[in-house]
Amino acid sequence: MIYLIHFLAACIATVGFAKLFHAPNREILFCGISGGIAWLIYDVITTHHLSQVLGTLVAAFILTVIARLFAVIRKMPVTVYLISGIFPLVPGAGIYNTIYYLITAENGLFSEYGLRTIAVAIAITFGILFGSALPQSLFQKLARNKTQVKDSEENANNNISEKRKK
Amino acid sequence: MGNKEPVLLKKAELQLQLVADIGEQLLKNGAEIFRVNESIERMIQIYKIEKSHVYVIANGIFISAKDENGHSISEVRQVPLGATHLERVASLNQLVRDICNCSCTFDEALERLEQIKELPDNSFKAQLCYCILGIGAFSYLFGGGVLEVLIAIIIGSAEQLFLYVTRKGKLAKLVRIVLASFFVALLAYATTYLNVAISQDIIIIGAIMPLLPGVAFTTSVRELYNGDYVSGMIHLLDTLIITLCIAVGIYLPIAIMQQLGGVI
Repeated sequence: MIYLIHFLAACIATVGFAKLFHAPNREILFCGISGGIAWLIYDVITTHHLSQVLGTLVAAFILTVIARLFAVIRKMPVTVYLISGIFPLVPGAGIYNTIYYLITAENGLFSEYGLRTIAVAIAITFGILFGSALPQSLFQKLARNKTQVKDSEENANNNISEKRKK
Repeated sequence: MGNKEPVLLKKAELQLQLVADIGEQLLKNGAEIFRVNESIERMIQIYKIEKSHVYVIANGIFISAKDENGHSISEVRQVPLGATHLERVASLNQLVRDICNCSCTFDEALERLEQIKELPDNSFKAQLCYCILGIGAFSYLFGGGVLEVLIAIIIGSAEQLFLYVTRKGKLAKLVRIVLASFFVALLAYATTYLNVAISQDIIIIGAIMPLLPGVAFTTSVRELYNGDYVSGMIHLLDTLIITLCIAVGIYLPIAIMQQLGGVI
């Protein structure tokens, strides 16, 4: 299945870039899986000819959920998995195409790619936002059979304390 | 000055210093603002330092408190934006947990902090290997064939070499990014003269992946969500400026080649 190959390639790519940020070796597999799943979702959505923006939004949302899940299970900060996994979604192609069409004076395509790049960036933003909005207790429940979270330390570290939000 | 005896720091001052140092290391290596803030607050609580107030932004830490005698003590740290080092963040996080569980004495904490500061950056060879892995796999994902993947890897390695060689020089970070993407685009478009049917677009997109500010952007989003607008804006600006630098770097070779009537 082509999706499986793409998934593995995305995992490998994510692992490569995760190590550029000195991700701990013990977490490499999980970082790779985060990136792989993010790309897989994006791939599936875009090959069914739905919008790139939608694909990025859903992928970023799922990525944030998975990153938070791994963070609770592995007792690591969420950033480890989130930063690794975001790489496949960053619109490098959008940026390049925007510049290219700016120079070749194709104003129509320049606007299209430019606005699409901005839209994808906003989609990533809201994917992460919605993923962060899920309550932390959900993740602790899901991970309960794997580990006993003794106090609310992950609660404090991975979610915003209520008083700061208000 | 003129005091012959060394001033003995009181216990609370030493503890506050450790707390500020840990916070500084967390911030420097890329932890989020709220994580730094909560870590500092929890450590201060455990050390029972009184009347403390903490304010953390993306490039600074401000702590004020009172020691055992009711005298004011404070710590201020300026932390320039640094490269993300996830292993140090994870180890510091564990150190903070251990301090707050009281499973780590003060002296052990000092020692562990020093050890964490010593955690190494990637050697150049390792950096190169990881880049090759990342760029190769991404070029394939973006639709590249064998040739595009190979060329992207070669150009990406040259880019990493350039960044490594200039890392301690006088060039500013932004200038290095412009130059790196300039060279990437230049080399990629030079391959058109090979007269082989390859897509320069995919090569460039693959090779600039390490430069893209994914980390800064993600951090910015999370901080804005948390209400840390100042830090969110700092990182957002960082993202925008880096993106512009990459764009300018790519722009130059294409514009030049157009003038020279090259095949674009």
